[in-house]
Amino acid sequence: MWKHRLTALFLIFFGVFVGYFLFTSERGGFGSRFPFELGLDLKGGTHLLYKADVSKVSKSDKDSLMQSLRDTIERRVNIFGVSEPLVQVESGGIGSEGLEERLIVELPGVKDTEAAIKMIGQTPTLEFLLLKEGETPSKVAELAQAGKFEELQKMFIPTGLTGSLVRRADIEFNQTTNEPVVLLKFNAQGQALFADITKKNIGRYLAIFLDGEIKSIPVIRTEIPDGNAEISGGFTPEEAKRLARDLTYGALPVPVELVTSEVIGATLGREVVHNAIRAGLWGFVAVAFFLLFWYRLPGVVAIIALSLYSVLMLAMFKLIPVTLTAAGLAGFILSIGMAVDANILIFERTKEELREGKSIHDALVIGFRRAWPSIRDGHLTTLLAVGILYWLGGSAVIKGFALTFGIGVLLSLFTATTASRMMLLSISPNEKTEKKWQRLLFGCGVRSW
Amino acid sequence: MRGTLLVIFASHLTSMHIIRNKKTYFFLSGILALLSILSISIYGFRYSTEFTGGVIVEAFYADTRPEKEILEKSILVALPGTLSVSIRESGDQQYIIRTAHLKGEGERNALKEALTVGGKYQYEERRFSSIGPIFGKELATKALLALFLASLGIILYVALAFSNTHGSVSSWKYGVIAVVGLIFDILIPLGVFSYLSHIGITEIDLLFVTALLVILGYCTNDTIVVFDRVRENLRRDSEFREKKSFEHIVGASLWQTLGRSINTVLTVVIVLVAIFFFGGEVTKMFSLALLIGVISGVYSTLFFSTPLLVIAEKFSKR
Repeated sequence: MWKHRLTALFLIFFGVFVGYFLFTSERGGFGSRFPFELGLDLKGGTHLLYKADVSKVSKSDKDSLMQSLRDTIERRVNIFGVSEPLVQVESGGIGSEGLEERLIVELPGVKDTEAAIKMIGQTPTLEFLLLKEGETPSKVAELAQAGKFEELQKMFIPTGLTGSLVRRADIEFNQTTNEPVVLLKFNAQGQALFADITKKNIGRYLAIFLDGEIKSIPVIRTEIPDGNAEISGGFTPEEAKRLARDLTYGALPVPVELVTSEVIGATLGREVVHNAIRAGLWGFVAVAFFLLFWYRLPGVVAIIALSLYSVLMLAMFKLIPVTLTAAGLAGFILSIGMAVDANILIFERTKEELREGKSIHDALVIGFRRAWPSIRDGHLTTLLAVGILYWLGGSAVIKGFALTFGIGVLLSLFTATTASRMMLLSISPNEKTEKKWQRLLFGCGVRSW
Repeated sequence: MRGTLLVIFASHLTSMHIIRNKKTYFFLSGILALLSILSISIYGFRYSTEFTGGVIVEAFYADTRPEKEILEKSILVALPGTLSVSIRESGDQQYIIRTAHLKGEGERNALKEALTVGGKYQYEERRFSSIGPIFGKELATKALLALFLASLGIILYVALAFSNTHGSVSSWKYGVIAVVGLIFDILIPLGVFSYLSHIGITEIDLLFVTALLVILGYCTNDTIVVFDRVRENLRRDSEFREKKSFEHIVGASLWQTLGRSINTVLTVVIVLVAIFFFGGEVTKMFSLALLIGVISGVYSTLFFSTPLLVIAEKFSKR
């Protein structure tokens, strides 16, 4: 008995604590580094979906190329100055023409899709720029570090040698120092231009810019007539590999095609959040009234358990974190309805036992035991459907719904079997001193038992 | 009184009412299913742009909204190749415009320009989606696959969970019957939404498919609770050697779980009604689909799947 009371008290305190955490974390206090993560449909912004053409790529290269595509696009997006952009690669196309590689770009807050599309889909800009006389690579590094890109640009002279003139780049290791170097092979036009530049500027620095970002500043040591260039300079093998990859494939390693673009205004998102909160509150209040009316004292317990369930769910959204979408919010609100079911199963079963004349305590214990297989089977089959939904969902809408609903089902298993049970057992009267009015409190709302 | 809904019929209700009158209810279920199938085969479905590919624009006019006809004309002029434009009112100040797939920035800008009707109306672009058709096809395939796999999983789970059940009905039959009931639960919302999409109220979109899967999960839960009770009562029967008829046991189980069935569905319905009225436009049709599914779910559990157990038992005996 006292064990039950302590556990129940602990659970209530725990719920209050979690509720407090939610409250302060939304007000910028304790825990504010765990904000709710809102999906693009609630935040507003641009969603772009590209199809990558990997038909000319061998299977073994595909993953690394897609990774490189992701990195490149992410670099471009970062230049765009969007806070918290999302760039991810996805394989899809079950049942249709084989697997398809896709790239998803989400730009929160960006309303100008056309500008974003241009920015992302632009042709690669690989440039070879000559460092002006009198400037030093160390000063370049300094400015790059400080982010003064405009001043940086002024230190260089264009040469006309660009990425479109590179045929391919490879990584090799210097045989004496064992340092990785990147070998460039220009095409015919590039070869002639490169020979000319190197002939005239021995001893000067030729910088390589990719997407406006400085990649390396090799020094010109001799004239190079054969169109082969070597870039060295303290690379790690990883860096050298990446550079070679970027140079060979330009900025975009595989061609991409825009399939879907979507812009959601911020007003729409705010409205959805507002509506979801309103629907959730009304739903909760209505269910609470129903429980109170129909189940009396156990109804009160169910309401407390339900509140515990709700704050725990919200805390999980913050801590995991779960990206909330409109469908996800609906899933959460719906799961409140489902969480009641476990309570109802227990109460109905308890009532049956009470009707057979058992004491309140015995009726509760037996009621729980008998209701358990139903609760377990029901929750597990729901979880099964939700799992398949998540696995095959494909779109963010379905995945978001499945995730919140799935967490809800798991959590409701916990609150119904632990919280409701402990609370009910802790307030059940002693078998010997049980009074009639106590039976009334535990009974059904309309009938006297 | 077991449930508020049944109070009127209380005088007719005995624990065996549903089982005794199962033929009447099978007939009713058959008619409902037939109506759905008819609606689906006559009207088909109007799929949303998510599936067919195309453009959706939500344009919010803060000051004055142009007449629908004027807007339509303006769009058709701006996009000469376009055959169909659908414009739907959403609230008092907003239109949802759908067109076929647009090519490139030029056509997108032409559409945006057309929405101002030559600069006469200012609007706020709340959403501008351009969706490729290939992606939509894949979504549909995946959705069907998900429905199929979920059904298969449920049959397997139920067969496994009921494998130690007494009586002459083998455990996998419980699973199959549960799924037959589920097909009914899905057929009804499909039929209703086929009609609703025909008269232009809604479209078959991703959220609707999600709703179908939730109905699947939820209604299994509903059916399993009753089947669980049957299993328990069968065990009791064999323990106490009461030798009650299978029909009687099923009827009693149904009766014992009636209060729970109705109350559970009532709470879910309360929540769904709240989402329907207060949840906003995005989830309105979603909650309606669930509402229809959940109600047909509790109906099929009580009046279709559970009585079907009795039929299955009669066949097993032969």
